[in-house]
Amino acid sequence: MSEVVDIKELNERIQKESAFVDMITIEMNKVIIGQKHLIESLLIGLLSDGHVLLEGLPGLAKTLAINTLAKTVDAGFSRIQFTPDLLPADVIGTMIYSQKKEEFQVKKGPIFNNFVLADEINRAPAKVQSALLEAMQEKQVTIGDQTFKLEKPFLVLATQNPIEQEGTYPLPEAQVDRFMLKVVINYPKKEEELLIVRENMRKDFPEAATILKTSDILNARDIVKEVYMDEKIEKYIVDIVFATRYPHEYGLEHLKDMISFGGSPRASINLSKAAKAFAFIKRRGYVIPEDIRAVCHDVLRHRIGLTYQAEAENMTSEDIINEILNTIEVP
Amino acid sequence: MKWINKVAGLFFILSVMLVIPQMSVQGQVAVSVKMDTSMLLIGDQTNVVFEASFPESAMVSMPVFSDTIIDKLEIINIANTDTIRENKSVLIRQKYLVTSFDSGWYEIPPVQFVVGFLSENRMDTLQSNSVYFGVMTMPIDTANADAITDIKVPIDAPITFKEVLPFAGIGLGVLLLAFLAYILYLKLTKKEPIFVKKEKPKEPAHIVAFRDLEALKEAKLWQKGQVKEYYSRLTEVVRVYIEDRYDILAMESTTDEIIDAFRLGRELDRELKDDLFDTLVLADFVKFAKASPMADENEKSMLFAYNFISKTKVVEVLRDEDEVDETESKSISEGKNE
Repeated sequence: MSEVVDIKELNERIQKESAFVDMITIEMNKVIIGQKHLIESLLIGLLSDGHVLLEGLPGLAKTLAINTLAKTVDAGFSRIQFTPDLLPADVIGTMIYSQKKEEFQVKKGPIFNNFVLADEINRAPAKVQSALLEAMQEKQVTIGDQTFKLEKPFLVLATQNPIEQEGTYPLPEAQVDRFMLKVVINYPKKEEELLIVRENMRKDFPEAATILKTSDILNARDIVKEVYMDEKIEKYIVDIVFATRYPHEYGLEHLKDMISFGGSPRASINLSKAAKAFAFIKRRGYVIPEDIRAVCHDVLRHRIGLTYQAEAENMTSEDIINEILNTIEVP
Repeated sequence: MKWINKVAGLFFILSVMLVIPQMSVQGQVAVSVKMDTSMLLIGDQTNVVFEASFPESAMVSMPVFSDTIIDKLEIINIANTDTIRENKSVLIRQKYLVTSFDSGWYEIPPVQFVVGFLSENRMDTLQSNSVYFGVMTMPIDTANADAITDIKVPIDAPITFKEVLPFAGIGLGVLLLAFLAYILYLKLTKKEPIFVKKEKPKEPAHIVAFRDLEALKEAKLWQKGQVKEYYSRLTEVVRVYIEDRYDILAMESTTDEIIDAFRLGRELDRELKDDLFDTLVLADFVKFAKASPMADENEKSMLFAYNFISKTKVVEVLRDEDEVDETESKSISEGKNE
């Protein structure tokens, strides 16, 4: 079989350049037991320049996973614990008067790092969330009359807890849409939990080694953009996103009353980017339908609005995505 | 005196000559009124008959009544006029069915019949006889206190099927309408179509697949350089076949998912499974990675599709009737032995 040259060349390049993915995975697996999907999702976010929102019950290694990922890369890392009394200045920075220099000086906030962990993002008030999400979108921050570009790569990894809704400020749909992926973390398996217990009983808790530079990440991102996506795959993506908006046009009349709003064009863009990153992780130079299906839930689950009827019938966005994937023909 | 006698005699002769012919015709006309009974119980009905008998050369105009003959004698029905012709004379009979609700003695006074003598070109009026009749009430024995009784209740007649039929029809109609409304409600709430078109029985999956493969072969797509289109159609044929044959959602599944579905309990020869995987993966390469396989690989993929369908198709085994009978009788006899 003779392949078209550019794909062959791209495949070989990706085979070579994506070797670090295995290394990151190995390093992360030293610290995080199981949670393969979580690690893959973090890598997708890292490689496709997309922010990740992690949702899971307390104690499922959300923060640890992000910490570990940050450690594997030689890059700036900051953690912001979101609390109800947090102010936007605590995130982006502020102007401080220097008595020595007799002038106002910019004091940059923790957002000026490559990796920002926004822990329990739904515990801070809307104005703080808004400041962070604006920075995520614009990749720049204005303090006083000066505008500062954020670091490259800049990745926000936010966590939120689905329980304990009292005293929280749930993110509005428009702001949740800024996150490329919303990853839901579940409990580990029995065998995994056994290993977790053993690892934590050891005297020296393993630590991930730093194996990458930020330039490696930026370089990998450029290659990810080159991953080939066929027209058929593009059409498949558009069909999936359109089915969330107009389910009746895809033979899913019963979902029409369940969905209040479907995925935006940002959903289509992020689905394509995430699928390319996933193909890269799998060390392929082209996207196949499996890649779309692998990232579809994480990309779409926070972009589908449910109606009261859906909530009354205990239907979740997961169910809707599953139905759509089981209805739309794979190319 | 003699001449007076002569004049008187002449006058008599002339009178006789003038009157006798007139009497001869007039004497043949007779009109009468009769009643079937002269004593009538109050509310009872009886006939009053008006008759006129006259020669054919004459014409009689019968009296006409509409509601009553006289006051207190009401007409219930007017029968058709009977006309009887016999020996050059005519008898016209008009019958009225009458009743009366007032007791007493009444008289139907003489009724005038207009007679026309056509041959003599003159008219005359004849009067009928008068008729007396009595209308009596129920005789009451005043000495007997029990003689006066209450009005009898209407007699209960048995209900006939004819009487019940319209009500039964309406009842059934209402029930049918209610049933249809219920079915319509169910359909609408479940959002199902109201009328479901009966579908034709599906063709066996392998027949459809073979036909599509033949069409694909004849299209010679890869020979024309349309390799991607060739593999798209080839995998579509195989997937449609798998969906119909194995009840796997193959059209909505990826290559991995299809192979996984075969691993989960569906019997398929290992070699066939591997070949299916290889063919689908090759097709994925062509469709999504711009791969262009060699000509023999294209041929091999087509051959695999034929081979896969041939080896996995469902074969219907039809048994002869005799064979069925034998089997049945055998099983019956076995059952008896047991």
